[in-house]
Amino acid sequence: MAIKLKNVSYLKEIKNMTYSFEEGLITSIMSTSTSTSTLLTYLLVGLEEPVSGKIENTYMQNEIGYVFKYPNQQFFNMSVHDEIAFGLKKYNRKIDNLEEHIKQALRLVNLPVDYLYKNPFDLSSGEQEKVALATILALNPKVIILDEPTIYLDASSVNKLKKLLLKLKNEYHKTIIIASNDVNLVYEISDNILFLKNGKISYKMQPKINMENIDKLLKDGFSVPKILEFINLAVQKKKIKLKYTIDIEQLVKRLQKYVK
Amino acid sequence: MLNKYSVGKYYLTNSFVHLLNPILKILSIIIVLISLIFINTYLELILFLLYLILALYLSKIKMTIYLKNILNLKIFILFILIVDVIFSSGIYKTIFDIYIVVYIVLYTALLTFTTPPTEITYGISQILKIFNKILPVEQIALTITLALRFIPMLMEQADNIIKAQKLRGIDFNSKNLKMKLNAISTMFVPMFIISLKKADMLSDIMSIRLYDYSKSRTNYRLNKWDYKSSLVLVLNIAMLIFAVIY
Repeated sequence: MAIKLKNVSYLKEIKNMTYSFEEGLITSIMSTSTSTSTLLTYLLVGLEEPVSGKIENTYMQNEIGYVFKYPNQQFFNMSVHDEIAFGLKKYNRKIDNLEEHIKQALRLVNLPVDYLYKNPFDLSSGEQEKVALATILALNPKVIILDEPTIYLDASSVNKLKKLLLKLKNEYHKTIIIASNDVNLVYEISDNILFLKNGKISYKMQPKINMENIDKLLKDGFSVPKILEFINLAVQKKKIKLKYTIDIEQLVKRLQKYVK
Repeated sequence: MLNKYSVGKYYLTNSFVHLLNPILKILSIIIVLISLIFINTYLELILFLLYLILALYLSKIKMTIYLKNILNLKIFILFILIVDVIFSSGIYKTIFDIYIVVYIVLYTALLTFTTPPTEITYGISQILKIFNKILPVEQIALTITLALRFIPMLMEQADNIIKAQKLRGIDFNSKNLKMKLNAISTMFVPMFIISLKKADMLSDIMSIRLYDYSKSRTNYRLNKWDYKSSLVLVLNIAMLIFAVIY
């Protein structure tokens, strides 16, 4: 069970890409152009066929959940309840307590239960994004692919999303693929990060060993969390010995030694 | 993604046809299409074809793009063939039927490929000015501009919605008619709501920029009527007279 890319090419956007997505881990795709990362996720779920090369995908279609960039494009029912129930009925999932199951999905994405009978088109974009995620989570897929999940979310919702994704990974062992340019989300939760430039994989790294490569990444036009830029400058210019951290509190503690 | 759709597409090259007056281009289409009705001999057919080939050549746009446009029509041409065979109208009639359809498509494609949509609406509104007292010309022109503006946007929208629905397990390629209708019905709700929202937003943007349709609009291009335009118009009228008389 895995998703593998083998020499995949698609016109100018993707050139000869080979990669295998690790199971049970969070892989993020960062790209200098967002259309490339969106296209790559389309290829993974089979919405587009590669021009050459092969994608080995051993999962069934209903085992992959995909959350679109624009969530309002997938709604067509008149209530959030029907929207979540639709996928369950479509794939003939037999669930003993359907109502409770739907409520559970809403609770996972931190929406109050009285949203069940609201019209999805009346919600704000951030709430729509959460409902879209709930429709996917209700199906209990093995792989979850998210395209730019944070663009509509406010800061507290982003934090909750981070916790949710980590919970899905740690407790339920889901494979999660995120196409996003939200550096804080990507660096805080991913296990692997793919950096795409000009249709090629420039770097594949884990966020922890990024310290030596920060200059290279910045030079290539990728963004890096401010906290890492700070550590990088402190190490290079002020010769302060600091280790990698993404947590601000930890950084403050380590810096206390140097403050008189 | 817009590259997929050739509806109302504009190809920029530096050519004789591009520089012609848009009013003339629309008039020319009307005149040539009327004269097509009167074609009934092979001589006329060949002369008109030569004119078309000359016009397409002068536009400096690759012939393959025009040919692709005809290929989109293959089902329609097949339909004409079948109808002509059923009514046994003979090979002579069949050739003329197909010729006229292909001619119309290529000649109107010449207009949309070489003229930006705003110029087409400018041309239409200038021609409609004759009816200024009966019709709200400016509003009609505005409506046409907006409609043209919406075509590629809605196409892209539909494409995205189909993608989203496919992933939710809706089968758009099903051969079962009921399933297929069901699938298409799931497209309507998001399509309507999103396009209404977009139209709303567009009207807000236009009112912020102080757009006022009750005032007459000017055009930033000069669109002069020079001797080339007169030449083409005379040629077209000559073609019409020739087709009617001969």
